[in-house]
Amino acid sequence: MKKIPCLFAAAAALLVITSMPVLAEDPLRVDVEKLGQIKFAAPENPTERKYLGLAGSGEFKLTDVQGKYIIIEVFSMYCPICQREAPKVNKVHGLIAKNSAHSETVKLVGIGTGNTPFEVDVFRRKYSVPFPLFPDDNFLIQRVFSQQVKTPTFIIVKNLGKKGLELVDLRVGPLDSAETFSKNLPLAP
Amino acid sequence: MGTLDRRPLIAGLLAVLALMLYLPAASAVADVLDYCIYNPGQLKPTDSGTRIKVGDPAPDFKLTDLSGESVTLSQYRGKKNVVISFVPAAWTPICSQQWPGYNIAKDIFEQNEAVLLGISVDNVPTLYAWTQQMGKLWFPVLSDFWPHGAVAAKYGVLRQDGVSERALFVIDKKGVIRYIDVHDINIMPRLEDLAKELSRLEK
Repeated sequence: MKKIPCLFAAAAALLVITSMPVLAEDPLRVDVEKLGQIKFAAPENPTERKYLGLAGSGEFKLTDVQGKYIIIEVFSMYCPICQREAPKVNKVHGLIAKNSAHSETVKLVGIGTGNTPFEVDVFRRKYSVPFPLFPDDNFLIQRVFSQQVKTPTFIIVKNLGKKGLELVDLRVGPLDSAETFSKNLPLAP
Repeated sequence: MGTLDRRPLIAGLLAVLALMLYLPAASAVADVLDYCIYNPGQLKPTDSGTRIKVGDPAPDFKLTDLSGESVTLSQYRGKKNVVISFVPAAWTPICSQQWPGYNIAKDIFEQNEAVLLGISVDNVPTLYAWTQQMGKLWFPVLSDFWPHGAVAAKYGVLRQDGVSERALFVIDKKGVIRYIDVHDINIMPRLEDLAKELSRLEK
């Protein structure tokens, strides 16, 4: 019977050893200064330009968006998880719009990493995405992360305008639910 | 006797350990494609040499789809344009996203009276498990496993290591090849390039 504690100790040691690669893995980091410097083509759709508070066409940065907080979904048209999540993310947009505390202050945008304008448009039409989506065929968004980013990933930033962006939250993977995500947005009033 | 008595305990502990290690992955089915992908690193862009040219008759073939049905190229003759998408291997980057991308672009194929045939040299069980994570695919997925890579070889896109190139062939209703893209295996072919070629076909 004395050997039983030894077996448990051995099992515990094995568990620790096998968990080490996970524990040693670097957490994903995002450089919001770089994120704030990326230039996107302003949406052609006037409703989307109005939503973002952009005066005209041409290029813009996220810091130009008229919104205190910006939720950025990094997705790919080719990613099956993003495809499954699309209705849920659309619902997040709807819930934000319905919430009087958030509707004017929180903006939601999507960045299609590695996607061309054509590919982003396929995704937009397929899922009737009601918020602005931007192509990123040169993988510029990947450069703001400390490691290759999985899709979908959600970056929530506070928009300080000319002072840049401030990271509020970073979430990788599918959302639990649109309601939970919207309800628990870590935004100061 | 003592050794015999400990076996169930050891087996139980190992089972618990295995469960603890794999439970997170098993419980997140949606993430399987992210966590189960084998990354082979950067590969030689192409590793074969097809002699097939645009304007040639497309070689016919007969392969099995995931439901066990036989699919031939010639069954579409006179009825549909055909896009053949060879992908190198299941559970690898790019491949695991290329077909899900086509899966939401069905209208582009339909507008051009085209069907899509996805072909890989993997066997049926592997392809079945892999494609389950992609959602319900509207196009047949065909196994070119045995004789290994025979159709890929016929089209000149079997690489030296036994996987196929990442290649697209567009075949018109007359069975003539109208477009060939033996793509850099490390890079996703652009959807608009394929859409443009499809739009040129006679409807």
